[in-house]
Amino acid sequence: MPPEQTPESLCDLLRAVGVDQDKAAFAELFAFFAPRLKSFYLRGGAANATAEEMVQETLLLVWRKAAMFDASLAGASTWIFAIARNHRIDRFRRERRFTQLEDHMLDAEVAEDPKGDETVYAAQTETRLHNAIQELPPQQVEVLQLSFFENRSHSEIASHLKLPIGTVKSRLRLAFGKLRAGLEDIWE
Amino acid sequence: MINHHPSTELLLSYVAGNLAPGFSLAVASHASMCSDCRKRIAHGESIGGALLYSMEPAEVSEDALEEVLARIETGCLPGDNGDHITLHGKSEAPDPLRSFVPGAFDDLPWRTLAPGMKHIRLPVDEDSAAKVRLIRLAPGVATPAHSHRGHELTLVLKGSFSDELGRFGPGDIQETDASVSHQPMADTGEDCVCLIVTDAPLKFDNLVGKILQPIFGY
Repeated sequence: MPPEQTPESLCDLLRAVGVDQDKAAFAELFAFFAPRLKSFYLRGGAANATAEEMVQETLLLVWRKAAMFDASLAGASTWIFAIARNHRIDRFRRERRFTQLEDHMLDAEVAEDPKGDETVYAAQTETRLHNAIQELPPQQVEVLQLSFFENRSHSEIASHLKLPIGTVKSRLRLAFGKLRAGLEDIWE
Repeated sequence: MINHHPSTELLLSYVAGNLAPGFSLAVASHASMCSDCRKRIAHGESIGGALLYSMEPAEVSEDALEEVLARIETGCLPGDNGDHITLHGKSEAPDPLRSFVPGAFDDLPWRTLAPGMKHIRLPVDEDSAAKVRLIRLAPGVATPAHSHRGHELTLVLKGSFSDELGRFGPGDIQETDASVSHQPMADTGEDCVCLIVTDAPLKFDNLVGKILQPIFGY
């Protein structure tokens, strides 16, 4: 069994990869993220073999870009989510992508003044968000997941759930509003 | 001062990677002009991260890690589409648009649509029904009144316009759909330059617009 990971331990592992090209740390990250990324791509509609390949490519990108990871700006899961999302866009569209990789997060302006230990800050955000998501009504979590994982537009989510599109949008708005309000003290 | 921002739903679609390229370009361009929205995007990405963290794991092939480590050994690492964007020179447009607007808006090869109204089609998502273009209105000039079959995103890059929905200045973004009929007019002494993305042809409300339709090519 792989060891239990927390947002903090994942940040430490990713930093070890970035700073020291630590392969043991990379193997631990792999054990945690590869199965989750596999689900992510499968739910996005990729066939098993394609999803497998995309997982490997994503983790190679993680290895290559790890030196750019800054734990004061984003947690490990957030940083890897952005890489995976971009990889999915690149894979299925030939066209250039206009979501710049991690640029938004690496923007120094975006990082609110971290309170206390900087490196704990982003991981703490992830832990608290993770808990806050558990507190959301299940219907709101469902639309978030359909939107983030299954690559569906709001009208596709609406027809999938047999709901008016206004309901889908208001659930997303409510969920985002609640999550932001819950992290107000660190997200200002 | 930016007063009109993308809706939460639009921003979350952008963060999730679900927008068509032209819409993504418009949101990215707005974000590069708006620090509040860069924050909202970072928050959305954190939500994506938290969802990934708690995702139900799926089975990965047994030798996947070995294969990846072997590829690291050989140094055969993948690139991605984010790698090759180099920016040089000074552009009047926000960064995501710089490859289309290398310098001043004045230097672009504008094509006249109607008196006081020029446009350029940008080569984005050309295989789809979406149209991505820059529009330039001379002071006091209005587009023909129109409504929409699909969605339209308008980002003001320079100058300002007013319509039934309000006043829009640099960095402001307007989201309209089939429920909206409007007639934007450049409302100051300078030209108004906008990025406009549509995913379906417009519907013009009067004869002049209908005659212009083939020229507009919306």
